[in-house]
Amino acid sequence: MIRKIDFEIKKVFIKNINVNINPIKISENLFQEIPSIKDFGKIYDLKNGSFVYKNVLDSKKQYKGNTKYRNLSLFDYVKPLLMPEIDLDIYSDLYFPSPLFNYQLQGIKFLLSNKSALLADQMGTGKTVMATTAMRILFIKGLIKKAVLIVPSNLINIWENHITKWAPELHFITINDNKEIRNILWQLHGHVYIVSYDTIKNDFKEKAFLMKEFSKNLDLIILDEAHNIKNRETLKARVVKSIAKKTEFKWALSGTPLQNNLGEIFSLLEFLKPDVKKEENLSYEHLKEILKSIMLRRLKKDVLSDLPEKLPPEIEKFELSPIQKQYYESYLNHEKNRLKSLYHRIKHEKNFTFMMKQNIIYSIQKLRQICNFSPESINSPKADRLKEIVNELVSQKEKVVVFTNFVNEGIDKIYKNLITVVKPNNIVSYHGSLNQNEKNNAVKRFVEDENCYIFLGTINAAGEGLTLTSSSYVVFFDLHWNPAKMWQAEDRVHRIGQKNKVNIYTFITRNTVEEKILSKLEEKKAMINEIIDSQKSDIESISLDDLFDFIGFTSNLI
Amino acid sequence: MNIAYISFRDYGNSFRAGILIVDEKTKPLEFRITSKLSVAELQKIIYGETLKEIVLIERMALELINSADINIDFLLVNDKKLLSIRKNVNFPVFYIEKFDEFKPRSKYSVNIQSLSGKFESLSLIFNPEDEQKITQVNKILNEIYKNINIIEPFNRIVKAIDYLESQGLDD
Repeated sequence: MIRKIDFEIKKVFIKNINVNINPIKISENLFQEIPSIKDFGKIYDLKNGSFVYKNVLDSKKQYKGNTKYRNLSLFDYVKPLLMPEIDLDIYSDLYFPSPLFNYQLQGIKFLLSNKSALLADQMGTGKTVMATTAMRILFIKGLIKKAVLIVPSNLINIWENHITKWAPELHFITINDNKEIRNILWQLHGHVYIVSYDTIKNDFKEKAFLMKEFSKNLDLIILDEAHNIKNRETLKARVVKSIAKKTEFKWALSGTPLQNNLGEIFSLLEFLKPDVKKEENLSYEHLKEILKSIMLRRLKKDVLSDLPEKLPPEIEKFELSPIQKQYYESYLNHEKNRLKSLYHRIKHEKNFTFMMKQNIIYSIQKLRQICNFSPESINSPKADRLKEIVNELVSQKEKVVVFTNFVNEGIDKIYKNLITVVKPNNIVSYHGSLNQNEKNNAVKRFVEDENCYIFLGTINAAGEGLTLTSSSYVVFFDLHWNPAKMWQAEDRVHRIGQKNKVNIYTFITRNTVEEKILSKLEEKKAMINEIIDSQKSDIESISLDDLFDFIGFTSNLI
Repeated sequence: MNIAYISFRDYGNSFRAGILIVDEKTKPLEFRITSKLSVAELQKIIYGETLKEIVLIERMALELINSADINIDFLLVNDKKLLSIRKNVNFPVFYIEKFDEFKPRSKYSVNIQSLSGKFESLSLIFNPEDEQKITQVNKILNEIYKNINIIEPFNRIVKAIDYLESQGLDD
């Protein structure tokens, strides 16, 4: 039987297979100048992912600030990775705003090669520049993506300025706004976060979950003035260590890591090397050995040949204490009303400008005094910082010259503060009420007595003619109207006979007349030159409009 | 003088490329990346050895170049296949690689040496149509290479692509 075999080939279906490769999309230009975090008029709303938060805030009457924040786009983060890699072994000035000194290069290399490092160079050697540059290099290499700088609140502006100048491709967020805004700031994306010890302590207490989330992907922590965590029992120290738990890079900066006892070093070690924590009975030798591997310390005299003659002044900005703020605001309001009515009363008089100026000057002087101390107190953030500086310098047998414009709200109260950290005979005062003999003796003692560490003088009395070269540190507790006067005062220390390089620190309070005077002086170089050239006596050479501006209103608003 | 660099990331079944345009100090001026381009297994088989060339040149490099806002003076590539882009653009394209003394020298190549001794020597391979310009370009690159590593920007592109990728870049 023959079977019928179906030999017909079945019809096939042609499957249409797409062999074309899909077209691609090109991104926008991802290289964008990173805008400032303070993007006026806009605020990032985490909930809606857009810039509409402003309206919510505007509806709250208690919110007075006008600082708005924005989030970064993903592409803003790429910027550091696109920058030329910096290799310090083949150093080139090309990548830095000004040349680095050899000892600074060593300091940066030391930080880069130590994930836990204590940079303990003496005050005034540029630890901030070294840490900023080392951090920048890590970002550019792609080794870190998120860093936090924990600093005393008065040094926040110094770090902001350093990052702007020395690490321009890094985007920083300063966390120093009110509670509500801080909630948002902790969640914004940035390269670097700058926060004070007190803020991080408070926020950790109140926003523990948020802070834990924040620290999850943290790559670097820098502690400035790391002796702030010297007492291991304090909440501040515990919070810092808790945040640092999973952080790969931990750098501590302090000119005085050890102030009183070995316990202080232990606390720092717990931050830097948590594995040492349990070894309570560490011998001095063992401790020395551990420190040797993670600490770099150079004194100013060791790096003297590298340093320029006069280092640029460091401006430290302080918040007013709550009580100072209260006094300041109430006095400012009172004076504004007084000046307003005076203005209307005398505006047609012949010597209007002169009288108005004198009155505003009077008001400003009083406000400036409140910036130093509130009327009934000898405590203030400036005084606390001065005590810290003096403590550090005196422990290293360094002398320091402190200038102020005021006697009662300057010399007297500063003196009362200083005798809480040094003996009275370690200080000499110099002001207009002393007779010539007393003045001469004060200078002689400061220059000749090796135990006389502090020269405390008014700029008017001591700012000219004296030679105080036994010190290489100058602190301006408050600003003088006339920058030439300040330069002359600096030159008491920086003059022939000075064997060291001179460090200058200027104290300013935020959101006050002091800040306005400073910015006005910086802004108006021409005005400064005019004052210097003409050597006119200070404030009289400043225009009435500028004076009005110092206390917060313009003549056409009156 | 604006120098463009193109580099890409091969993830096996997908690709992403980037263009970085820099100045003479290799500071970035413009940076773009492509979306991720996925290739199916069947496409791989069908395109065979031409796949990479098509993906890299037609789909990615040319698109990147055409999208650039900044004028490009010349393009450096680290994949020899990309040299053929030259026929589609009006500026020179150079393939740059580390100098290998045992490799036969092409007529269309020049050496770049770091006169400061900071970096290793490189070979710059060019298309015949750029022979006239090679002396000038070589001079410029030698000058830059004294202090700056001219092949390092390729790494930046890859690092940036990886970083964006790790952050869950949504195409």
